[in-house]
Formats: sequence, structure tokens, C-alpha cells
Amino acid sequence: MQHTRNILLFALALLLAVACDQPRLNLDVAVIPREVINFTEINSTHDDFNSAGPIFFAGDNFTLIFSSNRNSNGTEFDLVSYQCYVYYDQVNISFDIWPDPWNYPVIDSMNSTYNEWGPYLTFDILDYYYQMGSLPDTARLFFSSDREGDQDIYYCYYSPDGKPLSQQITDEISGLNTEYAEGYLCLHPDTLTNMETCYFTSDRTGNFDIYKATGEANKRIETSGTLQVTRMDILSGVADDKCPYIVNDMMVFTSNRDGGYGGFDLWYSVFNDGSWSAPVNFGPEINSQFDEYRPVIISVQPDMFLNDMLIFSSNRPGGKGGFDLYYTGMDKRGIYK
Amino acid sequence: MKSIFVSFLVFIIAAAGLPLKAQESSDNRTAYSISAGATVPYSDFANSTFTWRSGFAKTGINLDATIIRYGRRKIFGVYAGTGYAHLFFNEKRYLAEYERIFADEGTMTVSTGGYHFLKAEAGFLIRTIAILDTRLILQAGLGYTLCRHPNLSAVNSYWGVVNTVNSDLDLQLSGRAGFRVEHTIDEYTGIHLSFHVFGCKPDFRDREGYREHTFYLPVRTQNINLGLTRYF
Repeated sequence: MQHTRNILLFALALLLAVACDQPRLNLDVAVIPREVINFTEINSTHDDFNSAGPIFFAGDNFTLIFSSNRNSNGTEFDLVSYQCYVYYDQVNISFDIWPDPWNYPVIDSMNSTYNEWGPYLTFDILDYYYQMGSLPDTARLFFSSDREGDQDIYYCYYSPDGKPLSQQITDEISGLNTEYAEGYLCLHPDTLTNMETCYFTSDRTGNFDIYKATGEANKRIETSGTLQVTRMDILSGVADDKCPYIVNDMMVFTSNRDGGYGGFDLWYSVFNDGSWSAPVNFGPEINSQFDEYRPVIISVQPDMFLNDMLIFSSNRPGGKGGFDLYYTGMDKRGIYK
Repeated sequence: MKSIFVSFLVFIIAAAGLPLKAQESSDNRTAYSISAGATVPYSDFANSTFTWRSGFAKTGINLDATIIRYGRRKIFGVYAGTGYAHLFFNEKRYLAEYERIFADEGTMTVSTGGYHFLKAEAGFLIRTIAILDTRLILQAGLGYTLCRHPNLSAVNSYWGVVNTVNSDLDLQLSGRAGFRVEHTIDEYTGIHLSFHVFGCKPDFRDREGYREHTFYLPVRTQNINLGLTRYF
């Protein structure tokens, strides 16, 4: 009986080996198309924006979180999460993303009867969800909410199974939150000094600008003492500059400053020798006469894809209604060093 | 279609049993044959779009040499032979496919080589009746073929090198079947026109890229040859 089973298993393995024959690939690594593609399976007829994903993506799927007012028929924004399965073909050179709604407890528990916007994950929950391994203690979810009147930045820690660690949902980040609106926090870690620098948006001077705060060495930004908050003059103008998001040494943000293509446009700046470059518009391939909002970069393993992914939202025509999420391939050169 | 095939088979068997005209005065049952001609790829091997098994092969040339030994009545025979084929790679279509994919992104350049096949095989033949010193000889055989995949490279002026496949060798079982029409010139010499289909399925390694992997390419060709047969 055992012998027969072994023979059957061997035959099955042989069949699978034959069936798994590969084609000749026409690309060494995959390509994310450079045209702007609507996340049709994710978007709703309401506003879907403020997305966040993993900083670095090396697998076949990733977590995508965003704000949407779909659950309340347009009255208040909640955080919504999806698992996105990436499909790419190096023969026909095609690319697709199959999203699947996925409710992480930590995301659900952050939602209130008020608005939640601008999530930011320091580690993709999905990388740890199935492994149940040790999650870095720097794994945090940042977001902003107006649950206490004005819009403030909140954070919480989460466990490998995607659950919030109790009683740690707080807006107590010294020096960041004021009586004005703050949001869209993102981190820019410095591995040399082991200091965390965060960038965020605030309208404390009248219009929305980008601010920077650096934590103490060997401490997370939220556990550092009083933070020195500095307005980033090179990134902030007389117009509204919002939603900074940093991957490696590239910052992307949205602004309605002069020099754009209408409404809010997407801009980027590169960190070099300790300072940020003057903002550059992404151009008409991505920007339109309508609003483009909250860009995020999903940085893909360089030996897996030729380029990175840029996800943003826009209220341009042709979507499902309100703001929709879009993605496009973005040049990796200049980002990786 | 089936009735045509059955009729053809009956004709062949009947014809094979009839007395032979040419060379019947001779006992020379051994012959060697050499031929050369065109090798035309077909099916996936000739496909020149980015699909799962496309080979981008173009018509090439082949050389063939066999030694034949007929039975006493020179109806059935066996043969052993070797052959070489070179097929060109459809570089123009290969480039066009990349240009289609990277429509507005940089300029594409590709470099390709050709497929090479060196085979050794053995098989059998059936000779039919000669009409006007011309007869049909059916032939089928099996053997092994050493296949060489060409170097391929695709470079985009914007992205850099987007694909590299280094040449690789593989020895695989192969087979061919077909016929030749042989015209007898004299007691010892004949010329023939032959048509064969050839197939094998080599595995090649692609060591470049994200995942090193082995791919197989179903090689399918039609060979149309002109040759000389010498009996001795």
C-alpha cells in the first residue's frame, strides 16, 4: 500500500514537473505599465483616496490602505484595507493587480464615527500576517483624525496578526499636533545616526505646508522628547503643499502651486547631501487639469521589476465617481543608489 | 480524409509488393544518399509574437546524409544518418514586438543569432513501384538532436538591458517522417526530391533575470531537399 502510494506520488510529481515547464521569457524582469490605470476593482462611487502601501515590496502581494467615505454613503471617511495580488507576465509583458478586501483588526479598530485620513504603515502587515513571526517593534500605523475636534496625527502599534496593541492609540506626539490641522505623517529614517525624521502637513501658518521633525537618536519619533518642528521652505510655497510620502530618498507630495496642470498636481523632490531638491512636477503623463492627490510610491525589488509603482488619487473624469485611486509605473532610476 | 488516407495506404502496400523495375537487374542493396535544401519552421516554432512558446524561427538550410540498406526484395530498408540544420531568427519581428511593448519608451535594439541542430538518427524506408524510373520512398526515423539556442539580447535606450538569453545546448530525442521521390538515372545513381517533417522538444536554460529557469521550445520544421543517391 505504502509502495503504491509512493509510486503515485512520484508519478504526480513527475506530471507536475512536466506541467510546470516554463516559456522563454521576453523580459529579464517585469515592467509596471507607465500609463495611468484606474483601480477599478477597488474604487467606489464615493471618494477613495489617501492610500498607503508598503514602503518596499518584494513579494507577490501587498497591503493597500486608504480612506473612503463609502461605508457612510459620503458622510465620513474611514480607513479601508485590501490585499493586492500582483500578476505579471514576462512573456506577453502584461501586468495586473487583483485586489481582495481584507479587514485587518488594527485598521477596523482605528475607525470612528469621525474622519480618518492619510494612513501610513511602517511595515506591511501582510509580510507578517501568515508567518506570525516577530514583528519589528517599530511597526506602527500612523493616521490622522478629527475625533477630538481638529485634525491630529494618531498612531498605534500592531501585532503580527494585524491586531492593535491595546491602549496605544494616541495623538500624544510631542510638538506635532496643534489646534490646527495636522496629518499625512511619513518617516524618513536615517540609518547612520539612527534617528527618525518625520514629515507631515499642517495649516498652522494659514495654508497647508510641509513640516519636518527629527527624533532623538535610538528613539522612535513618538517616544522622543519635545520635537523641533521646522517648516520645509524649499517644499512649501504660498499655495497648499500636502501629503508628503517618502521612499528611500525621494519625496512625492501634492500641491496646487503655480507651474502645474490645474488643481492639485503631484510633485517630487530628491534628498541629496542632506537637503531636498526643488520640487519637480510629474508632468502631464500623470497630472491633469483635475486634482491629483496623496501620491505614494511602492518601491519594488530592483531585480524583480524595472520600475516602481506610484499610486495616487484623482477626481479626473472616467472614474467611478468622486476621487478614485490610480496606479502607474514610475521610473526607478534616481531612487535607488 | 480518412478514406483518402486508407486508399493511399492500400496503394502503397500494393505498390510495394509489385516487382520493382529500376535497379532490379542489380543486387546493390546498399546506398548512400546526400541532400540539401530548405528548412521551413512551422507551428509555435515559427510564431513571431510574444506568446508562450513562440520560437521566432525563420526559414533556413539543412544538409542530410544517410546510409541505406534494403532487404532482399528492396522493398523495405533501414537507414542511419546524420544531418545539420540552421534556422535564422526573425530579428525584425522580434524587434517589432519589443517596439510594440515599449511603445513610447526609448529606442529598442535587439541582437539575435540562429538556431543550430545536429542530428543522428535511424529509421526505415518503404519503396514503391517505379513509374518512368521514378518511385516514391516513404521514410520515418528516430534519433537524437543536439540543439543550440541563439544568444538573444534586447536593449531599450531608456530602461537599459531588458532581456538576455545566453546560448545553450540541449540533446533531445527527435523524430522525422516524410517521403522522397527518387528518379533513377542509371543502375547506380538516382536523384531525389524529399519532404520531411521534423520535431523535437529541447530544454534550454535562461540564466538571466529574476528567476533562472528552464524553458522548452517545441521545434517543428518541414524540410524540402534535393539530393543524390548512390547504390553500391
